[in-house]
Amino acid sequence: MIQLHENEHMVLLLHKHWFVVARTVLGIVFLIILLAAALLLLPFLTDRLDPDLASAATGLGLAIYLMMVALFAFFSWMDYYLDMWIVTEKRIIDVEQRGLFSREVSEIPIASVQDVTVEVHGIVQTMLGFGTIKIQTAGEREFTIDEIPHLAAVKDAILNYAHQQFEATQKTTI
Amino acid sequence: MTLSLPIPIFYLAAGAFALFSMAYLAIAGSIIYHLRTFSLPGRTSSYIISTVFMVVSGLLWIIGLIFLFRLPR
Repeated sequence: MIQLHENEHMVLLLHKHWFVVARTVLGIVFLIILLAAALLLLPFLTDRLDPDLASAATGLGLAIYLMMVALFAFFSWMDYYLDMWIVTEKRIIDVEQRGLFSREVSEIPIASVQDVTVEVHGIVQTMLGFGTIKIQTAGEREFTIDEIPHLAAVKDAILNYAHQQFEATQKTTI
Repeated sequence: MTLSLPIPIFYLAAGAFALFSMAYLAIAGSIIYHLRTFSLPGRTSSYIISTVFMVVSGLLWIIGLIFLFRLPR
């Protein structure tokens, strides 16, 4: 529900790097491995139970467990997908989805950008080419864009549009 | 060994499954609501992922229901 102004166009739409999703996928893979291990142990736990009861209960438990894993995966994907940064010619909009029914949207005018810093920490970020962009504004407020790819291109785009907006403002003043 | 409870296990499991299904529907519905409301226009990936999730969940739920009705009454 982000509304752009008249004559405003989206220049960049930024999501976090795919590695952020991969971390969650690893967690889901671990949960499925846990399930496989439980299934291997199951005959030892259920051999004293009625076979019909054991098989039905196992099947039901399996279905419920997999539904919960699917829900966790879906929720994690939603959190990733709805976290975004929108760069237009006039503003930078930070949309942060914090779980369910909690969302934070903040924006800064691109003309107020004073300084853009790119940070890459660790072997994973260096090898995969993602990191953090920190934007300092005229009001000494810091705006952070976390774990995004194509850092140099994003930094250049922001500085380019900030410069253009600054020059446009100067011309209007004169 | 047979499990002996005052209430047949089928009814206990059915009650638990019904509660689980309602909670699941509430959470999944909330996620779908968020995606439909807050996705940017023209982005189709949320529709695809939502559809895949609903199909997978539906199939698993039906499988769960089948096993539920196999429990002794």
